[in-house]
Amino acid sequence: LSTGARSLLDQAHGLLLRADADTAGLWPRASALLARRSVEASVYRLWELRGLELGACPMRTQLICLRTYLGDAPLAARAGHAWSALRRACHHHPYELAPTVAELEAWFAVASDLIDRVARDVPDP
Amino acid sequence: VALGRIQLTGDGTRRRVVLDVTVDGVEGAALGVMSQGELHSLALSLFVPRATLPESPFRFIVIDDPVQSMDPARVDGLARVLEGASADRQVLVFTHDDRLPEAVRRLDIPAEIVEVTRRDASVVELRRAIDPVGRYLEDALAVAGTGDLPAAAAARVVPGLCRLAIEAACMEVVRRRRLGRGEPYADVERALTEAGTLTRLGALALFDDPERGPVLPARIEKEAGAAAALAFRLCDDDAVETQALEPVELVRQASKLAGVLRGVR
Repeated sequence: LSTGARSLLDQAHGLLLRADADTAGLWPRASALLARRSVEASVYRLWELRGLELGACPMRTQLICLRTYLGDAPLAARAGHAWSALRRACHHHPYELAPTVAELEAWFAVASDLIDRVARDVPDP
Repeated sequence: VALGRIQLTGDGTRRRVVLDVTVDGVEGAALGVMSQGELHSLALSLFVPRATLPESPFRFIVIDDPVQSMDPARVDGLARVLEGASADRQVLVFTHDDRLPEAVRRLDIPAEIVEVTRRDASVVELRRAIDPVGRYLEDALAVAGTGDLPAAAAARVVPGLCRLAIEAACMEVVRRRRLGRGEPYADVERALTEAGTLTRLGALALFDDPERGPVLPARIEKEAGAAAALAFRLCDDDAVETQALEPVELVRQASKLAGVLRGVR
């Protein structure tokens, strides 16, 4: 269900807002991971709605197909970009800082738009 | 960091711009508190709108290395701003940083990326690294080559991407030819929009005449072979039986066809 995508994104937001000794320093990558899962959940949900078994394909293939099936190519491109940025943020890279709040929020906004778009989806005629 | 008022001041023949900013609500001077990357962004946020005013006689902007010391989100933002500016003018960007081309790819912005290498004595070589045609074909191949791709997705996504590649190749030929002989940019774009169907666009590219669409298939077959002509038909018409070509073979033929089209003068 797309509530899955929404609740993952809410959790990611929660990590951004809460200053907590337990998550100090960990929240940027942790929230990036949750947001990335949220984008994936939205994409899986769309395949489910369309009856397409694309979920097992590599994410790159799924994101290219998203441009065809979402019915909103610019949003699909933004979602693809946010996903790869979030994926990069989930891993440690030498000389690269963890993402900032502003960066994360920009990617979360895309994840949120995707959730809304998928929620409005009607299957192909 | 939020930007406040922009003031033009100066005395005598000297002119300056004063930029006030607030950092989390506290006032400060831009130069004192902003990082190098933020200052670059600030300079660009003044330069790009000014350079793209309708009053500007130049229908292009040239920017040298705008992404130095920028953080990734800002690079994405810049790519989008430049995409906006490129709607009605040519945008040329020089950079030695791979992040802007990367953002352009990921955001699916139709741009051409040219690699410049310099040999001894400044002999410069240009190599087209990626452009819309190549990018669509790359994506098409990534999808077509996916092992357990559902047939329904292969039948819809692969021809769609190949079609985009062929369209981009046709547009490139038409623009190069017509702009080359001095036709106004707006007229060329109108001709491209008015072509409408892929067949008419192809005829515009091959014969410089959209009305010659009916003889296009025979010409494609002669120039690029029967398989490429079939690929063109598959891309042009959803109704055609797409199983006629394996997805990977379809991309291969579309790629060949795009190559032939681009070779047309």
